[in-house]
Amino acid sequence: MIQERGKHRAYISLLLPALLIYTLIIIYPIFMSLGLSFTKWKHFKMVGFVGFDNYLAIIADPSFQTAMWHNIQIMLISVLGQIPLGIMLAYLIYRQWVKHSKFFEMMIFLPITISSVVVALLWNRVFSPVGIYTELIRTITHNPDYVVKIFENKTFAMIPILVVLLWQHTSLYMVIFLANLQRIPESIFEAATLDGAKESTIITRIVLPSLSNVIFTCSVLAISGSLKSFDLVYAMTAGGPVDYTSVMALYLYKQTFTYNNYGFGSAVSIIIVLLSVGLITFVRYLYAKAQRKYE
Amino acid sequence: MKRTIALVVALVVLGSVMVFSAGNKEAAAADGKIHLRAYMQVEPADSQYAGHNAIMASFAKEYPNIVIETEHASGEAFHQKFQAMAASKQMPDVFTCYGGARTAYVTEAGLALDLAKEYLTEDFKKGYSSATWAPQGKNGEIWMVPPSLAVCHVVYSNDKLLAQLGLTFPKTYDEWLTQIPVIRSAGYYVASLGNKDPWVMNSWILSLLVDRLGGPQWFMQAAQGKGASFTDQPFVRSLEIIQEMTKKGMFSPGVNQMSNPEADQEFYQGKSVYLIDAGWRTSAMDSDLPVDLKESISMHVFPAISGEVTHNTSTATVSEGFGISASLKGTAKADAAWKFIEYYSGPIGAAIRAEYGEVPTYNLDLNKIKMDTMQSKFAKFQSEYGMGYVFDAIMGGEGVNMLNEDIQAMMLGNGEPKAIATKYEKFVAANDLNRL
Amino acid sequence: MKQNTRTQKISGSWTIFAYTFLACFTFITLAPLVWMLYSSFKLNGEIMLFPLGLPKQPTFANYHKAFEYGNLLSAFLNSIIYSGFSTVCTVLFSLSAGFALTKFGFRSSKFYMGAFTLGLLITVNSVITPLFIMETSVGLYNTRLGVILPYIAFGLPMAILIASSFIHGIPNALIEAALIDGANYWYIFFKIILMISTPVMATVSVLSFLGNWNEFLLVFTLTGGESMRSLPVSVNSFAGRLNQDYGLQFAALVIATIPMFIFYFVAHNSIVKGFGEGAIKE
Repeated sequence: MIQERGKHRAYISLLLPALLIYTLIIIYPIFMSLGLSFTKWKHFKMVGFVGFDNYLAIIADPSFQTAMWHNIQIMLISVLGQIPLGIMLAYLIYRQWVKHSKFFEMMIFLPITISSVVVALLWNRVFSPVGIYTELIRTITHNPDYVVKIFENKTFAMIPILVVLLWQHTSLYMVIFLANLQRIPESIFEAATLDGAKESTIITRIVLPSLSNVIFTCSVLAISGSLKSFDLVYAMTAGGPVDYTSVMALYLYKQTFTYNNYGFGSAVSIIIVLLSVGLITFVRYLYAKAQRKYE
Repeated sequence: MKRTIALVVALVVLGSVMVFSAGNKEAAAADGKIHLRAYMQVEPADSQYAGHNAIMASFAKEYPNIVIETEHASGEAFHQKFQAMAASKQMPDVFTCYGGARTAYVTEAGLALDLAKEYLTEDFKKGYSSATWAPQGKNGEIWMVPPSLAVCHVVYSNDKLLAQLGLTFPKTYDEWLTQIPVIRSAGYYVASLGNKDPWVMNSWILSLLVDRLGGPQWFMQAAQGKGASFTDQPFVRSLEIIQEMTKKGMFSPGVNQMSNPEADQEFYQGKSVYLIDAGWRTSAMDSDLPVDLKESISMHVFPAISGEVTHNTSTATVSEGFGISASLKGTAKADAAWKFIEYYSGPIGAAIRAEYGEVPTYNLDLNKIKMDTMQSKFAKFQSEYGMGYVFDAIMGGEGVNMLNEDIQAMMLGNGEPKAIATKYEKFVAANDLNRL
Repeated sequence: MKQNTRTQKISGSWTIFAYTFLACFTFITLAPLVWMLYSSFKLNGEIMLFPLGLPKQPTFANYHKAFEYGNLLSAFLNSIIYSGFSTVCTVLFSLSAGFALTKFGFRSSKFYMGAFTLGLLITVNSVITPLFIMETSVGLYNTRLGVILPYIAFGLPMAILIASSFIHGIPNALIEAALIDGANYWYIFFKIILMISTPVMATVSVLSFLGNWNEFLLVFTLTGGESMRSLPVSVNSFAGRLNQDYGLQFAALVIATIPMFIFYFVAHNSIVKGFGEGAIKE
């Protein structure tokens, strides 16, 4: 085809601006990082190549494992909490089942506009030992020793953070789903309603299948976002107490910027990337399987 | 649609102009003045830096030929960028650095000028309190001139509450423990402490305990692994005391989820009798608290512990001050930078800072300077008590972080003093700069 | 009549549940913000001693101080430039890339898509040091462009993902028809893809603007002078390493948050409008 060459030129030119900036700012440093991840640093100087030693040491480090487990918790709440809730809320608003849906839509989206710093500051002023909530419970129960114990619990200290994440980020998915719900032709709804289809049927047969592509996209966003989450955790607890709320990005941060183990830190970021790639491939596989089932 | 496109185009053009107009790049230099780029860990809006602001203003007036272009930063962000600067060898001319290990990525990497070699004379040193010139580098280098000492341990007491409870400030640690049930049954908390960031326990209590029980000589030996180690009795006993204080309810509930200002708040509201905090809190107390409350607060050190080898001490470190980039060595810029540091820490700067309540390392007759309530108490405190080492200013950061987390875990019931000491000793032996 | 099918009623208990849920959500979101707002008119001492109370003598002192020390006006302008400019670029580039990657059918698309998705997994912390070194060596350090480029780069992966999944759903027939009419691809991009993509444009721009508005680390590290700083960096200078002044901090945060809310409330209307247009096109 003669047209093919013009087509390819157009393809490249459309892609180029994004590709150029992206390569320069992200891909290039990541390759530097990859190289560094095979080196060992001691007292601010590189002392040599160590192969995969950093990787092995990280995987064996119990505090990395703890951090990773916390990331998995965040991932679960994102994929299994935020996305379904986001669909529900979007659907609720789309079908206009509540009055003032516009107002509520704005309220639901509001948290995402607030910076993590504000969220953390306000949260602490409510739930810390001198916070409003704690004070209230102390007065009601006449127990001056009351504190929110869950923050100090080795197993469950992540839960408050998960709740905040749910509150803050569900709206992101809601917006995406809402935008895509608008694209379902209304005639389909009309036809279904005329046929006397139940609401549950409409949801499982019409809404979810037509959103499947978006659900997949959102899962990718959720997984990658969870594995690198940093800002909110850093602002709320900085990983503490001990390392009960530490996450991988925090571990990376400490290794690189507090302990100056540059090689080690770089290896952590590569591990985060590899983990995410693995998980996303898995989700892609699930998605492909689900799609085949529907067709 | 056309209008939107026109608007977008207009915005893009306008935007490009602003984007590509670079910041105030060093178009300077042509004016014949010496321009110094400074990177300071300073927060100008904090009441504690009022003296700093005043010095900067008066220096600019007195030395119009030296222009200091300052970038302010603080906390973790300060270190993160400072490391990037160090990694790319793009060092500012004047910068905040630490005498201890915290900015070793700059000092140990040879990026800071050794002031001891270049500028310090015996004559100059004489004017300062002797603690100022403790060696900072391994070979006795001095990276920065500390303008003031950071006092890291004060036990503040609310004397009105104490009197009301029929108590006085305890003479011994054991007496302090016996006060706990009295205070608690009256409905108050004993001591507020904000250990959310776990370095607090280390800097403010562990350092003191180690200094009291082991003394400075033992500590330096243990740090360097010469005839002493962290599995020795002084260190283990210190950890045990922390555990004991926690178990017996010395600290307010939730001590490990309370930030410093939150602990202060509890104490200010009269809910607790004591506050364990640093010396630098006094400037905030002066600006935040009503007069009657300030007057009822007094400052003490940890009561006597049985078996202690040093007595009546607090802890202090030279902490941070301004250093000069090594790349400036021998230039007029370096001399200008030194002029600034001299001005800042010397008699003029010290007098200015003292007016704003700082207690400078330069020897001044503080009686001549009018100070606020808490600040004058702080000045008296410093002259009254001896100062020991601050643990985490000497030991390397990675090990200290590990130790701090372990102590916090111990306070939450997961861990024992002996095991923590053993683990820490093992880490130090393998990794710490002091043992090289 | 169309509206009727959409506004069909659901059972009473569900309605009650929905309202309770939404009301709680609203309360949890708004109450702390309101508290922050009125506390910003109290001095720190008063906040410490009486945390919940309304200001006894409302004062603007915190705001005065924040403006005096924070260089807030120039920070505000910078924030607008950084966020605005990078948002426009992110939207345009992500849509053009999304179009190229979904509608051209080249084999390499998959590779590029994968490469972009990889960007979702990169934290700022892991590239910040190399980026600093690179920018200082090519002279981008302490320039506005040096901030905007990374903003675009970090915004692109998510934007491209969202954009492609939207553009993927645009019927091929539309494009083929235009091609037969002799239109070239850039014409198709500007006249068809961009027009149809308004809803997703709105989504992407809101997300990109939000992300950049609150961003701290990149601006802080990649700029040096006060004149290049954005709002989060200014606000952070009140964070209080040794002494926390809540009054001052609240005032600064209110100042930083209000423009965001205004943007949100304004942009929100256009999102809704965008939704409408998107639906009509279908």
